Amino acid sequence: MTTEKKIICIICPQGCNITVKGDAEKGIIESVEGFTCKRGKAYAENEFTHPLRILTSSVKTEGSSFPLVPVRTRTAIPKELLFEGMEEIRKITVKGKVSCGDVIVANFLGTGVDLIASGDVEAK
Amino acid sequence: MSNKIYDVIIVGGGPAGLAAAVGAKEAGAKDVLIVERDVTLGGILEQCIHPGFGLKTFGEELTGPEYAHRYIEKVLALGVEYKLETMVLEVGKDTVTGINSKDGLFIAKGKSIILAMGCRERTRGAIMTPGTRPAGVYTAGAAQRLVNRQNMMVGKRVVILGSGDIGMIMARRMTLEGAKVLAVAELMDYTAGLTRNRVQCLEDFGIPLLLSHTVVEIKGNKRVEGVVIAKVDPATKKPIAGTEKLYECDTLLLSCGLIPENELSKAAGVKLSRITSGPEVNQFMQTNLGSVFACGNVVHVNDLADNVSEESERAGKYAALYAAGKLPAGKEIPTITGSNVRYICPQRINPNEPASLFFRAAAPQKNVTVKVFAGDKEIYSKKLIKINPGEMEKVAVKPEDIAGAEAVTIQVL
Repeated sequence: MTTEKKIICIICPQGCNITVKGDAEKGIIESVEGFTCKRGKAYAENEFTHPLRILTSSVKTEGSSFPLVPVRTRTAIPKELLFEGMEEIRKITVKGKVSCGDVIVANFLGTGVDLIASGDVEAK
Repeated sequence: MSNKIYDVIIVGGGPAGLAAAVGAKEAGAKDVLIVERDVTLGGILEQCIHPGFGLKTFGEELTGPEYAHRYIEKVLALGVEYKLETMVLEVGKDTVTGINSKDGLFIAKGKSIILAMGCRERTRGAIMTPGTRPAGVYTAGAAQRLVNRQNMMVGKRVVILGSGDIGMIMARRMTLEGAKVLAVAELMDYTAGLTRNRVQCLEDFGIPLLLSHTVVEIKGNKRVEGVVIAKVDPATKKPIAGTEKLYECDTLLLSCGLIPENELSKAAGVKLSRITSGPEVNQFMQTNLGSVFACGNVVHVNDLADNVSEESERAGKYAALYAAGKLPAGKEIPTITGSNVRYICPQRINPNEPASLFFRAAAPQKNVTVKVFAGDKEIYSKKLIKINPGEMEKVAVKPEDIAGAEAVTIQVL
């Protein structure tokens, strides 16, 4: 199904209003209008067919110096998985010392992207 | 406390203090001390668990704690001393008086001092929002700390006043944590924060942004039961009668601007700018006190931590040079704000040394030319498609271009 989407480019502060037309599900782009640079065009195309976001949150700890330790997906995951990701994150409890970069969940939600600690807590 | 004399003492262990320590050490300072009131180094970065940090400094997208982690590792590797859970009571030209439960009251001596205390949020009192005084009114940063570090959810139905970056980031955080964010109301007719936050925090989640709107009443006795939002006249910023609408909610978050925290600076006799509310500095980030330097949000509120780090490393470097008796001195000339320029940092420069001038526009404007004048002579001109008060601009000036000038002026035309 052909749809049209208006996208504000976030590559630079200029914030171009870009309109993309096509079939997002099939990954078909018919037209891109309103961009003023190549990077903006590429950003808008990606945003249209498969928008990605880094998910960040925090997970509960047990026996650690802080009640929470921050986590992130190492790289961006599909935007539509953000709420499902939060559901998974809510179920996690880590114990004792956690270091920045530790893998908390490998292959998070089957995306191929790991959920990693983005901060440190000490064992209490 | 021993009779040790530090080369550089830094008040505050957040992004500014950490980068200043790195800058000082790398410029040859031997003994550097950071005094920090929180339980860890890192400052506000520790609660900023969202991505978007480090794009300039490290060329990759980091979260706040990761960004802090990189600087903390550097600081530790360089052998910087630090005191945590320590409150600084007084700063002098060459002393820092502090207190903690281990050392008690102490006076640390330093050849130079760097102020890196950061800023505070405007509260409900500061913006004078009318209504009752129930629980459930938080500044966005306080809510961020409770949710992200202390595992306490602050509410279920939320209205946010102010479109500052922290407010928009908290709109996303609260939504992901299961709350319903009804609206973000902004007094101005443009977003206060970065475009990328408007897109990724509000538009991604369908959160309405109400420009030229404000909260005119808070309702509820024990807990917030609702807030009344009205349109404002874009010119006068006064609410328009008859446009009031009740939003039933249990929480109001305020993201209405940040104020540099300068109680210590004022008491020390540091001259503050009436526009930035922070110390007036030269390109070395040196205040009027000579031995006292300042950097980061205590000087002027930055939009990016990366800018804070860059500025603070510079402050650290020059504080170290001052401690070694090697900082260039001499007559300084002022930087002057021309049309559509709200402020310039530094406020004065030593014309014999290169300087980067950071400035903010007073209002958003399209298709502009930024011009820099040394006296009456135009020394720089650049066209921009857009200028926005939320995003800081920078121009570099060279000694040969400004030789003999009485002042340097920036104009946005």
